[in-house]
Amino acid sequence: MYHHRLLRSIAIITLAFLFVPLFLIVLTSFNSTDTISLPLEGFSLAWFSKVFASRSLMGSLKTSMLLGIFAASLGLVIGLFAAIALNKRKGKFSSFLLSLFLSPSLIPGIVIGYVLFRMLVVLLEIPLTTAMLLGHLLVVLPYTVRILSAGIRECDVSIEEAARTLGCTPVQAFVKVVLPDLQPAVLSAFMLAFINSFNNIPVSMYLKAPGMNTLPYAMMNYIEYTYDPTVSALSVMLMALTLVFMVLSDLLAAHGENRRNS
Amino acid sequence: MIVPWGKPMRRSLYVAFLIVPIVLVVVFLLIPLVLSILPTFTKPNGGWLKYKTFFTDPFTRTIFFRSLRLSLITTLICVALGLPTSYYVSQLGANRKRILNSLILFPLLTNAVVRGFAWISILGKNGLLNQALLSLHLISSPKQMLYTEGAIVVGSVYLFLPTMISTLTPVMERIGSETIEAAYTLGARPLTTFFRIVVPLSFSGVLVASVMVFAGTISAYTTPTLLGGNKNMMLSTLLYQQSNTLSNWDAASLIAFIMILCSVGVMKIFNLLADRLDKRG
Amino acid sequence: MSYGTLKDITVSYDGKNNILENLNLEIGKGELLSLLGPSGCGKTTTLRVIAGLMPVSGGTFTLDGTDMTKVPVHARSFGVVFQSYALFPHQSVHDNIAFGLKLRKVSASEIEEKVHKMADLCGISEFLDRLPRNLSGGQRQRVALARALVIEPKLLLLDEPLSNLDAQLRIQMRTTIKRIQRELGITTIFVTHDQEECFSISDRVAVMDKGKIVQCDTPEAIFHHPTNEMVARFVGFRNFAPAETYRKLGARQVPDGLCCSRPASFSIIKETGSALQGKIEVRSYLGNSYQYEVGTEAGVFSVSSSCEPPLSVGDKVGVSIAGEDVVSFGA
Repeated sequence: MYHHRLLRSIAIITLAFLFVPLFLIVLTSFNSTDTISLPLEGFSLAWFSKVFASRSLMGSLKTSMLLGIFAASLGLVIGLFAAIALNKRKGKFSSFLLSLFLSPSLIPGIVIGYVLFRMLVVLLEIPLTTAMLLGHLLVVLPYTVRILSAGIRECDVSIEEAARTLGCTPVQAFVKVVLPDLQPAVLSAFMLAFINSFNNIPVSMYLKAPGMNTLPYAMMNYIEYTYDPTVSALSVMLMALTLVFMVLSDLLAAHGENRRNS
Repeated sequence: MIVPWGKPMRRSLYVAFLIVPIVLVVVFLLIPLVLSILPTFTKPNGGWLKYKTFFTDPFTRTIFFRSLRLSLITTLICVALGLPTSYYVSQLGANRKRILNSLILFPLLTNAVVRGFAWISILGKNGLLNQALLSLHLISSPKQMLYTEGAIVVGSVYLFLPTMISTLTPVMERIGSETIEAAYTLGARPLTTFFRIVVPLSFSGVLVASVMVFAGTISAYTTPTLLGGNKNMMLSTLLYQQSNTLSNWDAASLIAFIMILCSVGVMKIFNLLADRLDKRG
Repeated sequence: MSYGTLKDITVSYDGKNNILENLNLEIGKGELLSLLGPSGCGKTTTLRVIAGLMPVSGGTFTLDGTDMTKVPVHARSFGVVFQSYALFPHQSVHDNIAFGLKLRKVSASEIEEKVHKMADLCGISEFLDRLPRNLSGGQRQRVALARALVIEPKLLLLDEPLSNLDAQLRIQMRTTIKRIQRELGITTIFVTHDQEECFSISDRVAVMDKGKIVQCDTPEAIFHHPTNEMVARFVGFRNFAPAETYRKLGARQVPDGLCCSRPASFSIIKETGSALQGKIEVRSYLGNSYQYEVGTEAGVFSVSSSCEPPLSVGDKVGVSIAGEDVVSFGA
């Protein structure tokens, strides 16, 4: 298979365009001076320690993590039950309901944030924390429902039926046989949900409270007042975490596939 | 298509499982959405007049058309860059393809601030690009690249290229290497094959991805704010300013409605067109 | 005088394992030459080398005096029919066939004339406006053939074109292919793993195994005189045993070495006489005849016979074979 030189060049330049900026951030985070510049004047890990020392950044990191875990877990459970129901009983409403659950991903994030802020917080005076959680659940729901629904559809019904013939109640059959089969989908849904909650900006922006910031918002604030490699260092750490996430999910997916195929 | 799996579930259980997500979406999203937007039509000096003002006032008009324009430009650039790239990736050997596919998705997992910050550090007055150009003596003083419409386009393209490429790569794979080889054996050079065979066959995938990129760009907040600043506002920046800074609820709701029309509307139009095309076969 | 020559062709993916090694093949003008062998033997690779779709790490390919080894695919002007037919899904049958002609800047009227003529030859004139997805497997195959032939190629290369068709259609189509090939006089290389199909239409057959050509000859020659064990098995020989065993079966002049025979060549009689003694162990019904596994003190032999009444398991029989029905591979 061979290529036209021009097409291949465009492809390679495009791929470089995608990777080079992130690579540059990594490089500049190690600078010994407080400028974001290349070549590096010296090698230093000072900016990484500055990240850990910053109360606003660390505090918001904790908030984002807790929020992410909470929203992803809750979203996973809600989504799982929804996916089961949608797949176990074909009603006139099934496709309509599926679209309903996926709709938050179609509405611009900033509109969701605005609407929640205006209606729940300002009008109904629901506490910000609750509103924030509701907002993140809405953001996360489309991902969990979609992935789990797909996972359930790919499940082999006969293994559940086999379990029933061997004496399991429906619940037992589900827990012992179907859930393990769904494991890769569950993990994938959780990770994607977590990442989308953690990285979410528009909803978190509206529903933040004093002292309860999410990390992306804290980063945006920081950039506004200070322009130094601290944010570069934080970005590098986040990218490293993402890389770990990706490798983990790849391994788990491969493991899941092996178990399924054997 | 939703096909029931195993024995259909009892009605009461079905309802119980679905009640929470239904309430979540309807009560906490859809109803507030309708309640916010309805007043823009029904309020005394609201309604069509307010919308007309929006489109005639130069300030808001510029923002609206800028949003449309930049989203369209971003989409076109993503298509132009994404087509050759996804074609290239689809033809690679299994190992390299797998690694590249993961790497291409990687930026999607970082948050928009990280990606916006990367471009700030490149395009700023003291940014890496200016530094490089100055040291190579290609320019005499730093150029203003940040806080321009160009910067917004660059940032948006950067945001959505992975989506375009990862949507198109499976489409390219489905074309099949034998179809492309057949074109070669009939005398077509690689470039001719690309334009006569690959592009037409990937057209539907290009449309799907383009809709996603367009809707995404017009809805994005972080990228235009970080890279465009207040001099180059888009609909999302305006919405935030009106609602958060100015507490101008009516204006904000109006903008929100227009944004929904732009993004969801485009998707719906596309779906209708796709159905029409399918029926014609 | 050969029209095309593959000389010392070596193909390798990773530099270590060679798919083809020092392969040599002569192609005669106007003949239908088949590459026959089990999957993985390298026949498709060889075809792809000829087509220009597979780069070679060594050797040359010459056609009609010109060295084609370095010529790119699109400049070779060979007609290729792929196993999956590879029709362009977004183009009608007419446009698929016309594709190669349009690239060659042929005038519009000439394109129409050639497309219609070829469509008639291949029997697909009524489908010219249809899209590939609205055609059956057999119809698609004929479109692929027409598309490859309309550019008047120097070689026609077919990669297992019939394997996706059902049995009856396969027999019909192979006759069509042979007829068209004869009519146009086009040098054709046909890849298949089906021995019967291959032998029925080929002028010559190259049997391949593990990247090498094991025997290259006319179908009759291969059928009656395979030159090694693999080819013999492929064409239906069984009962591999040393010459001494066969001498016991009555083939006294058989030269030394490994020998084999066809199950149908044996004589099997209920009484014993001078033949080798044996007992029927297994009996299988083949429709036209029965196949008996006969256990003797010299080994078990597969013998087929349509004698009436058929023999039964446990019967004591005598088996023998004539010398001329035994193929020997020498010491």
